[in-house]
Amino acid sequence: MPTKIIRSITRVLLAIAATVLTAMMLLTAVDVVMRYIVNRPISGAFELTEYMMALFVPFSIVYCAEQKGHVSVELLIKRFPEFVQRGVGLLTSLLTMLFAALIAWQNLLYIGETYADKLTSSVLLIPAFPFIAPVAIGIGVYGLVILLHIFNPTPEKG
Amino acid sequence: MDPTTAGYLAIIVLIALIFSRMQIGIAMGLVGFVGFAYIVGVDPALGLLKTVPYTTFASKDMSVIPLFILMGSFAFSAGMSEDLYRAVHKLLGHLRGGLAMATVLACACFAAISGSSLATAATLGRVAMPEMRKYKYHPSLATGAIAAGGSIGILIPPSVILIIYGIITEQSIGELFLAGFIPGILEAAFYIATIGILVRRNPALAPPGPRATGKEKLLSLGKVWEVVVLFLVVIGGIYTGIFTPTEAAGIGAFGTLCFALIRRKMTWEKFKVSLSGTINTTGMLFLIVMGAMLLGYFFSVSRLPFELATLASGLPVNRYVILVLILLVVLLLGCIMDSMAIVLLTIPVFYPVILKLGFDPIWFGIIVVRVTEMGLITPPVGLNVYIIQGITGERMGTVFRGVIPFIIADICEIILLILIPQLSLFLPGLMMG
Repeated sequence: MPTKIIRSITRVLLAIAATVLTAMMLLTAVDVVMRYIVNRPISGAFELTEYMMALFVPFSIVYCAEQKGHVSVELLIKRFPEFVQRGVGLLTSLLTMLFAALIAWQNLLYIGETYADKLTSSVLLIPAFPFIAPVAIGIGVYGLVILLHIFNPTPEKG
Repeated sequence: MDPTTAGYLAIIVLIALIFSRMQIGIAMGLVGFVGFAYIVGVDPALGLLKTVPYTTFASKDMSVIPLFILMGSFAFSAGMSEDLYRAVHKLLGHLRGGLAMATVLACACFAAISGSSLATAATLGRVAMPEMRKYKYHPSLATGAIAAGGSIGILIPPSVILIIYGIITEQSIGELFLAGFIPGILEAAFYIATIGILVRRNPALAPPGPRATGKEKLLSLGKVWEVVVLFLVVIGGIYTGIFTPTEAAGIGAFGTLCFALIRRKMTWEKFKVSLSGTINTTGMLFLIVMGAMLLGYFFSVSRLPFELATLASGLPVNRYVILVLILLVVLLLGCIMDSMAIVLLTIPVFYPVILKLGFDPIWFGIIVVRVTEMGLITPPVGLNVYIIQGITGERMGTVFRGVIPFIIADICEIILLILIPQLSLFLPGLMMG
């Protein structure tokens, strides 16, 4: 059951990331065309790209984790007996989850701070706090995906 | 324990974590966080976790990375790499070893619109291998050429690794792109010459293939003009200063998508695959970048890079000896780790040393990336070798034997690049002047 919930969360995050990536490409292209051909750049394109990156990158980290695409070195550990591999794997997974939880927690606090400080972007005055949430959510879910992989270790994809 | 000692200890712990199969980005971030907490305090370290991830991700400069990856993904989905191979194959196929040479040349051309190389190696493995089998090429020459050719992509602009190098060392991405151009072409030339020498010494390795008619050659070239246009717009735009690299990446990705749509090569399914592939690679890169940023904060308060630079510049040896030692470390890492991870791991430590020794930062970027590229085909973990082995089904030993001549070519080219910095610095000098 928890597996299913996390799977569907990562699906949703992937869909958001894909939409934002497409939008970011279109925004950059249209901005250039508007600037050099019509001489009217899109106002706030800079900060919009930044906010899009804030949405897109943390969710892409989740998707990559779900696909087991993050880089790790297995050259040495593979030479050890199975139980050592499992033990070390458990330990590093726990450390990873702990670290992810720390980052997620700090970013939750950061959402509150930027909300209280009324931090906004400089041109369009869009509040910053909703765009810190994806970092907290993304890194948090990343930790959950790592947890999930402890219980069902499927073979790594190349 | 003083900060610098903590820095050395941290490196040992980091290596231990990485060898325990911890994800590299997390290992770097965790060590950076704990080290920073030890030297400066727990609260400031928690403060880093608060601000560093957001500022690393929400960056206009960084948006150039997913956009260039997307451009390559679209080009790949649209079958541009296969078309390139068929075109070059028609031009060179009748030469002895021509099919292997065509593989290398097609890789170099595809690299001009793609920021990474593994996909190139994989496609060409599927297209070129059956052709070379048909004309009875020796399997080790065939697989070696594909694996080596696939590694060219990293240096020829646009290059994701050079972007990362530019961001962490605060060097101009445009200059780095131009600097990588000649060394990238030279690499292809060296590989082609290697194939030429091999077949001259042993003609049985590669019997001549079919000769294409002039009409066929023209027709096949007609299929690759999009690649030329995209490259000219993207790199030409950066060179002349019309586009920033980010703008060039956006235009490039959009343009590639348009070409793919016009050719009716882009289905909804392929579009989704291009997006999810790009998202996967972006996630992989940014986890490492985030870790590297955290580690960087720790390194700067530990003063380790500074101490190391002072130590190295005080040694009574020629500065090239130190350079070669640094490159050997990079090469060793290259044998077990991804190029991007190596650049992010080693540059923060070695970069101050290089500056202190008076080497040019742009030139050093090219050399370091060129060395990590060599790591893609060196045992025991030459990533390209595994991919090619997987696709072609040849034995691992055959592929590794096949890449040895190309590794020798790599060493020769790197020596040449070190001895003649102008090979890297000529084009960026033109742009600035």
